[in-house]
Amino acid sequence: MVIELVGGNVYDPTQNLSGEPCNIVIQDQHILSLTKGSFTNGSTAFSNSEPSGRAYAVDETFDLSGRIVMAGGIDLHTHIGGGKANIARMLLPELLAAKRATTEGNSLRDPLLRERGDNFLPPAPLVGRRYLEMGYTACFEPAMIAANARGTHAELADTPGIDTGAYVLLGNEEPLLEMLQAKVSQERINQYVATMVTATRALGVKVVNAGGISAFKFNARTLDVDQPHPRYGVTPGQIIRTLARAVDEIGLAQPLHVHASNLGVAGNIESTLKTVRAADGRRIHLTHVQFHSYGAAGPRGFSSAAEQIARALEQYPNLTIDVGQVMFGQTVTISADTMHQFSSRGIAKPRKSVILDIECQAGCGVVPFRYQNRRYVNALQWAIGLELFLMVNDPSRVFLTTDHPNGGPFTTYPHLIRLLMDHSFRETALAEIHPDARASSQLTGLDREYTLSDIALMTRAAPAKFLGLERMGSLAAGSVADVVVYREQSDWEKTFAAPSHVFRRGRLVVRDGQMIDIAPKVTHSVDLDLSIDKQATSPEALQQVMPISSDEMESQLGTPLVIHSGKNNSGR
Amino acid sequence: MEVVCPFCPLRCPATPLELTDNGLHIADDFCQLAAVRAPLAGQFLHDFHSRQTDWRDLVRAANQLITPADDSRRSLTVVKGTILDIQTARESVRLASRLKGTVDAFARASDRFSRDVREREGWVGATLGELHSRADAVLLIGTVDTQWPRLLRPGSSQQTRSLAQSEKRILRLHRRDEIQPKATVTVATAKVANEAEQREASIGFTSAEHLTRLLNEAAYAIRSGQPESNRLAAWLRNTQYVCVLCTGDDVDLLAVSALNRLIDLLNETSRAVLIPVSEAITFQTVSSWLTGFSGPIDFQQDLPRLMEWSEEPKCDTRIWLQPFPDCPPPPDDAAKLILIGTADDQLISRADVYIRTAMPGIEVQGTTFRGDGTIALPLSQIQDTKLPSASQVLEELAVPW
Repeated sequence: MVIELVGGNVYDPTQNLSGEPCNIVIQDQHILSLTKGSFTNGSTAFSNSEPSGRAYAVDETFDLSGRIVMAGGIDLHTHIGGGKANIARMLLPELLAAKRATTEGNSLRDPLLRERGDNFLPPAPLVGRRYLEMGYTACFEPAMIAANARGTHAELADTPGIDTGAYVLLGNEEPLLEMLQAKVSQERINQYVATMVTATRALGVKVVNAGGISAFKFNARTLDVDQPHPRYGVTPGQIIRTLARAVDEIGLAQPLHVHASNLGVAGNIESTLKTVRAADGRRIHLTHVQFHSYGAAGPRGFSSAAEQIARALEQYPNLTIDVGQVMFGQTVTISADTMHQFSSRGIAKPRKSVILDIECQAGCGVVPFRYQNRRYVNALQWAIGLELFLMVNDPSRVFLTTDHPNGGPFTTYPHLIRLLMDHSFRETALAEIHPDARASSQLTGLDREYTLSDIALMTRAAPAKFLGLERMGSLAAGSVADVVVYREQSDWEKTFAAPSHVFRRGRLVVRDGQMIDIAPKVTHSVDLDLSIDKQATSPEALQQVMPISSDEMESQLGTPLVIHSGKNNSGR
Repeated sequence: MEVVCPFCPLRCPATPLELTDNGLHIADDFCQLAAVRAPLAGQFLHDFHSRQTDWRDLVRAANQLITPADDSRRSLTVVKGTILDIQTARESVRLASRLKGTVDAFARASDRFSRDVREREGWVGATLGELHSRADAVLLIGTVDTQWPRLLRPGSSQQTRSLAQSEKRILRLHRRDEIQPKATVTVATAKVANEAEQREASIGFTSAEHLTRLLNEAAYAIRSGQPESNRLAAWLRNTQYVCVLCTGDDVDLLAVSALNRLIDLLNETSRAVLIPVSEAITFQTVSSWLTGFSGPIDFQQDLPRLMEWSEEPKCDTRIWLQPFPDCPPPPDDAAKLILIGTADDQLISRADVYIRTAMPGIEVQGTTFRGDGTIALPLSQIQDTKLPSASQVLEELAVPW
C-alpha cells in the first residue's frame, strides 16, 4: 500500500522544515520519501519515483495544500497505566460516571471505544482514542512498579492505537537501599538496574522521592536531599547519583527520570536544585518540575521559582525537564510519592484518598483535587508552569506535559498549546486568575509565542530523540509513518484538538478529529548491550520480579515488543 | 515444579505443585488449602466430558442461547463467576459489551462492605510484602489465617525478607465461639495488661455491633490520650507498623468504617495499614481500566454503567465462569445457563451448555493479580490438555454480529 500526501506545510525539526510544502510518500508502515515541493496529478493510482529513482505505484493520494503536517505526537510522561489510575477509578466512581452517549465514532463497533463525555480519567480504550484524535501516537507511563510490570503492560496493551512503554520505578526498594547501605560496587548496582529494566520490559528508569517513599514506611514524614534515610542511612542525593550513573553506564538512551523530594512544598526549589547538583553532572530529567519550582517568598509564603529552573537549565547541560502544567478544573492526583500524598490528604476534594505501601518497593497515593483559578496557590501553580515553558529558550529540553492526570488531564493539551502560542489569549486567561497570583507572577512580562516549529520540536522530535526512538518523531524517509495533518482554524486550540487526518503506521485512523480505524500497536522496551555479562542477572532484582519474556508480552499481556538497544539504538 | 499457586488469592509464588500419574499434588505441610484443592482439580485433568465434542460446536450451541438486548426484546445476559486471570477478565467485559449485558466477578458479601467503605472514605493500605517484611505487628479480624493458611508465612509474597520479623506480635479479634473462651477478653475497659506484650493475644466479640464498639472505644482511648485504658488501644500503642487484615465474615459496613477511622487515627503518629484481600480483584482491576468501573457493569445503554450491587440480577441467560470445580456455583434459577470452566456432574446437569475449559495456572498460562491488588503474577501451564482457555471461548461467543 502506497499513500502520497501532497503539498502539506511540513514542520519537522529533524529535517529543518518549518512549513515548507512537501510531498510525503508512505509505503506500508514507513515513510518512503519526503521531498520538498507540491505536485500531484490528482490520480489515485499513478506512477512516480522516489529520489533514488525506484518506481512505485500510488494507491491513494491526499491533497494537503495549506494544511499543517507534523510527525505523530509523543507524550513522555503520562500516567495511563500501572495501577494508580485504577485505584483512583475505584475511589471515584461517582465522578467518573458516563455522562452522555453520542453517535460520534460509532463506526467503531467496539462499545468500549464509544464517546462518553469528558472526564479527567478516561478508561484505557478512551485514552488511546483521545490521544489519537489529538494526533499523539506514542505515550509513556512513567511509574511502573516492578512487581506490577505485568499489570502495567496489560493495561497499556488495552490502550488501543498508540504505541506505549513504561519506566520502571527504582530508588525506594529494599534491595537497592540495602546495597547502597552496604556500599556495594557500582558495577553491581549497574547489573541490578539493567536486570530490573530488562526483566520488566521497561524503556527507562524513574526515581520518585528517592528514599522518601521507603522512609515514610518507617514513619518519617519528610526526607530532604541530603538527609539520611531513618533505616538505611543513605541520602536521596546518594540514591539519585548512583542511579543516574547506572542509567548512563548500562547504556540507556534516556537519562534517569527524577521526581524530586518535597513535591508541592513551598520553598522546595532548594531541594530541586540540590537534586540537580546531586547528579554530579550526569544526565537527569526532572519530571513535572512545576511542582518543584516553588519559593517561599512574599506575604503568602508561596512564590514562583521558575526563573531559577530556567537558569539551572542554562547552567547544567545535563538537565532536561517536563513541566506538569496545572490546568484548572477537577482532577485526581496519583503518585508513588506516598510521603507527599499523605500530607496532602487534608485538601482532597472530594474528601477521600488512598495511600498504599506497595511490596517494599514503592507506594501509591491517590488524592482527588480541584484546581481553581481564583485560589492563590492554584493560580500561581498555573502561572509557574507557563513561566517555565516561556523562560526556557530551548524547546528541545522542556517537554509539554500536564503529568496527566496530576496537573490536569491530557485532553487539555490543545488548550495548553494555545496558551503557549497566543500571547493575547494568555493575557486574557491571566486576567481571570487570583489577582495576587497574577501580581506575583512574571507571566505578564513574557510575550514570547511558541511557533509551530517549536511545538513540533517539543512534542515530536525532541521526545523521540530523548527516548531513543530514532524512527519516530520525524518524517524523514525510513521513519515510522505516523503523520498528523492539522487544518488551521480560528484558534490554535481548535486546530490542535481535531486533526483532519492522522496516519498511524501508514493507516488512516482519524479523519476530521474522529477515530475511524485502529492500527496495530507495539510496546517499546530496551535490550541493554551491557559491558557486564548479559547472562549475569542480579539476584536482588529477581527477588522482586519474575522476568517477562517477549512471548509472554505478546501472547498473554497483549502487545508485541519493539526492542531498542540502548544508546545509539534503532527499533527493530 | 514451582509455580504461582492459583488456588487462593495469596498466589504464593514458589508453590511446589507436582503432577504425577495419580494426579496433582502439593506437600501437605506447604499449604493445607492447596493440599485439598490441588487433588480436587487434578481429578479433572483426565476429564473428557466436553472433548467428545469440538468446543467450537459447543460455542455455536451457546450462541443459539444468547440474544443481544435490544429495544424490541429485552433479553439480558449476565456474565459472572470466578475470574482468576486478566485474559478471562478482559474477554468477560468485552463479551458483556457485545451482548449489551452485565458483567461482574463473584464476590463475597464482605468484599462488598469493604469496597463500599473504601469508595466512600478511601483508605490507608498496603500489600502483603509489607506484612511480611516491614510490619512488626498484625491485627487479624475474623478467621483470616484459617481461610488463607499461608498468610503469615514468609514466601507468600516475593519481597525481600531482610527485615522480616521472625515473630511479629499478633492480635486476633474473633468471634467468641471461634477460639477457646478462656483466651478471650471482652471487656473493652480492661487495664493494660501483660498480654499486650505477648506475641499473640486475642480479644473476642459477639457480633458486628460489638466489634464496631471495640474499635470505636479503642479510637476514643487513643484520641483522648489514654490508650492504657483500653486493651486494644494499649496493644496498638506499642506498634510501629501494624497491618490489619479482615475476612469480613463477621463485619458490617459500620465495623469496616470504624476500622478505617482507627487506622487513620493511628497514622497520625505511627504507621497502620489495611490489607484487603479478595479473589475478585483481578476482574475489578481489569474492568476498571476497560470501562472506568470495577463492577458490576451494565452495558444495556451501549455504554458501561456502574450498577448497584445486588445479590444476583435477574436475567434470561447466565454465562457462568467456574475455573475450578469447587468455585462458587451459579444460583439455581430459571435462567439459561452456559457453564464455562470445570464442573462436577451435578452442576453440569444444570447447564444448557457446558464448555470444559483449561484450568488457569494448571492447564493454561495466564496473568493474575494477587488478592491484595497491584501485584501482577504469571500463571503457568503444568500440563497441556489442549483444552481452550476460558478467554478463548468468551472471545468466540456472540461474534460476529
